[in-house]
Amino acid sequence: MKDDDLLDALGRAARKDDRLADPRWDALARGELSDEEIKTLAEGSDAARDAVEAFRPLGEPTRARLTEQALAALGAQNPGAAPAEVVRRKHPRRALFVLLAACLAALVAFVWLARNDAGPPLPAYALAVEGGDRPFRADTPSPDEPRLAPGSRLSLSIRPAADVLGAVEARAYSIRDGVVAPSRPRIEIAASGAMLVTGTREELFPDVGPGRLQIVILVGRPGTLPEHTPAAAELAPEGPPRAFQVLRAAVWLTDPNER
Amino acid sequence: MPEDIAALLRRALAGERAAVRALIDALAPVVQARVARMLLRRRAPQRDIRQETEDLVQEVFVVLFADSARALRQWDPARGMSLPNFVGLVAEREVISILRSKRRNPWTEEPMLDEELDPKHGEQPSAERLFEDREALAALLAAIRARLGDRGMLLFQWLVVEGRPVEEICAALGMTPDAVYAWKSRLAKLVREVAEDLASDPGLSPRIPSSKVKP
Repeated sequence: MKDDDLLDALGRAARKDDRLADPRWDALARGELSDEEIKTLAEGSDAARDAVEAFRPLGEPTRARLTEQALAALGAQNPGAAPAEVVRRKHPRRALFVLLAACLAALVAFVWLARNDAGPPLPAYALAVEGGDRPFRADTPSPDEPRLAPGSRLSLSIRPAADVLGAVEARAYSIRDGVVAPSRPRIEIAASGAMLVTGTREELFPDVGPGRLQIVILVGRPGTLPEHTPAAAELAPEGPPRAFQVLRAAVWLTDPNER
Repeated sequence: MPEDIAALLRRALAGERAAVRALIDALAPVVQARVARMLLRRRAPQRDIRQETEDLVQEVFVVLFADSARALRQWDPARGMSLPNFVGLVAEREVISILRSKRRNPWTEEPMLDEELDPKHGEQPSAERLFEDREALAALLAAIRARLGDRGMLLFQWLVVEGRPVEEICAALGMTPDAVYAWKSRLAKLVREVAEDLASDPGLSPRIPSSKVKP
């Protein structure tokens, strides 16, 4: 028997063995199963009960929230209004906790702002880069800079040393040959202030040719980030005192013809 | 699914509230099913499968509508893929990306490389008999799965079990066709190796060196 035949035989066996291939799971997600049918699906094991939980149709509040979120995204068609789209991650079941935490944060921030001219200082942020051919910690100089081939994905994890109280913003730029260019990745900001940027090379660096590139992320309180694209000198590690933090990492965009 | 999903999409992209809601009602089950299957097939215990599923569904929709719904606007019915299938592919790609970003560099820990497989050249294959025995096949599947990391599992599922087209896998994983075919070849070799290993065991119990088993 050839290797391909072995694979085919194993594939057939696995399909018979694959309980998740059952089309009733899709019907469950569409809300087409009766209570009795759902009960039957859940019988037999913890795994089956977990599956029922995972496939159980989304409730009205979740669908309504998705709709509002989509409408807000569609309504925000104002190119140039912001250097980056910022999306706050939401946790449906923790909405109450988030609301309470937000109220508490607002109260603390109000008290703080009433006593101070600026918001509470941000904890130090660190930038970690994953993806490409090899990952590395961006806060320790390393020659092992990620190499991104066409289609490769990159993930920038921007984490504060402690949870952040109050609002925080971020903007992204790239620097090549001393020229700063604004970048517009989607930046997700968690309630803790941690940020995540992910995307393919094409999504993160559209129209950028092969070669080494510096990624610069600015993190600060609302109103502290520069209104206009800063000069490279303003973003240099030894640059002037700033009201925002500057995080840097380098990546290589490989030549598409490189193997 | 509405017959004219393209028209519904156009109205939704124009910001028509009812159309956006109808589009989400149509696509949410597809996204949810893709997310749920990917989560449930991971061997790592889930913190809360329902919560995890809803969070990821929401994140997929964020991606679909981000940048004035750039991802959705990339769907071209002329390319032959239905909108639900296209959205399902986007969902899988995003889930992979998100799960990948949550753990430090998980896919570089793949144990399944050719040089690690300790090929037993010269042995006469006796693996075929495994394929005539349901119990032995189940043992073989379990042994294969124990030897694969997340990426290997995903490729095994899509290539071998579901028989997805290579171009679809390339689109979802950002891989070249050559890389996908290389994985298929590795998977075939792994199946042969493990089958022979099992076939030589009278008890048909998987004999897997602990160093090759993913935690």
